[in-house]
Amino acid sequence: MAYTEALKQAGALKGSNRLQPTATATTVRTVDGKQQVLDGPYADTKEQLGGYYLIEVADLDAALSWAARCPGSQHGTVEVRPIWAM
Amino acid sequence: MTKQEGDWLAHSTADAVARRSYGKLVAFVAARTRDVAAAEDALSEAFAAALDDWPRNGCPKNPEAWLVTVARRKFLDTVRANRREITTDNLEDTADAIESISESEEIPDRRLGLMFACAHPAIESGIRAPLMLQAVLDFDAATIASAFLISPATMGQRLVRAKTKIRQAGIPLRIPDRTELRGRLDTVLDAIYAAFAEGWSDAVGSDLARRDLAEEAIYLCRLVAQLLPNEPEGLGLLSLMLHAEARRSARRNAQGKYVPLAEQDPALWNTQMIAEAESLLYRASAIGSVGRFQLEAAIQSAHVARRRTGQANWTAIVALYDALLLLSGSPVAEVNRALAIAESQGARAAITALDAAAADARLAEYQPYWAARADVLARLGAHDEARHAYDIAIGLEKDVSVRSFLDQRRGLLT
Repeated sequence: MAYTEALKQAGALKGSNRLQPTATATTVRTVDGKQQVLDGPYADTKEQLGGYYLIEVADLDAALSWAARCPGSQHGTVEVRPIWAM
Repeated sequence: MTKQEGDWLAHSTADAVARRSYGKLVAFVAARTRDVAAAEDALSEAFAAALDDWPRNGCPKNPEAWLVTVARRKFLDTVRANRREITTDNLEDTADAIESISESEEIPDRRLGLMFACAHPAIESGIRAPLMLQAVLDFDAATIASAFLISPATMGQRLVRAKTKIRQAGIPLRIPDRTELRGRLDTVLDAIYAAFAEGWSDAVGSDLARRDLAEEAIYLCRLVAQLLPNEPEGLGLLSLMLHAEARRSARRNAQGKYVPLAEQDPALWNTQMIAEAESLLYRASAIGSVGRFQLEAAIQSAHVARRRTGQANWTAIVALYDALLLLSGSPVAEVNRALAIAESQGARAAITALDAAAADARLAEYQPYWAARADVLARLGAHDEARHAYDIAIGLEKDVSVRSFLDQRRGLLT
């Protein structure tokens, strides 16, 4: 995909994955020390997380301009969040 | 020099630096760390250290550089003590992140970058103006809270949250690239205008914090106009605010009663401010890119034409509102346009325009719409309907002196 290629070329790409639809999801929770496995997604909403890009850029404005170029931003929403520094 | 004189000199130097350079120092210290809150804390400690050091050792030649050097050290101490998320590795980066500055250097002016961060689209719009007032002008949260009619605790929390967002989301403290500048400048100008509007709503100037707010907004806009002299909307906003400020003392009579623009005595307007406003607008229009603030400033300019000709230029005002409506589609502009039509084409045309504007449901709760309607209906001799419209306008108005003005107008109906 051209967008991913461009990210690579700019040296910004650190990782990415596309996720399969939430119909394939299984949810795990630990309640009172007991594991619960539920069929279906964590939250039954219209919007789904379709995938992510992990990029490294100087600041929020740079991240936003990459987000705006992402083809997903034309038919969906791209949420930009910093990661916790480890 | 006696100890007393030394103390006095240290205090007055520190005061002068704070007034002149506070925002510049915050912007400089926070430029690369993006940690506005930590920069403010470090600077307040640096000012405290100055008041301890300067009386004993004399005021430094370059007090700004002295304060930055001390603030940089305090900042690093704080980082070491509190930030568990910062490891020793990037502590070195943090050390470099605040430039050290030599005695002979001028501190670069990055206040505009700080303003762009405060009014970034990623910051909640309602807190942009308060944030700017605090970070650039050192207003305390309580003063800002009282001006924006929010509880001090809530205002304090929202300011802290906004500063955390700047740091955590990585909002840059710089002027955006050419391609984004115009759009992003709009959010900065909107925030400045919001601060001005808060100050403006206190016409008599009884509330000192609020009157200051109008002056400080003008100061911030001067900064924009000075650092981005080729951005016409920055010049336009400054022109608009100076026009409004020029008429401040004419808005109330000696008894503190509200005086509408049409009945104000032009002799009470500040001619120097009007002259500056006019020349700014002229400079803006020469750049050749019309915008909302330039149009609003031009409307003000057509109003003050009354000073020279005895009459506002109503035809021009209607045309300018037409242009403003095309740009903004604001129902407020539609109401004002209808009032200008009343002057230039008569009350019947004005009531048609107001009826058309009423399609926008927001106007049902907008006092000036009902006051305008009442005024136009009264001119048409429809006194019962006018009385009804005045009733609603009075019910919607917060300001006592405007309320009593409307009440007095209502009393003139038969």
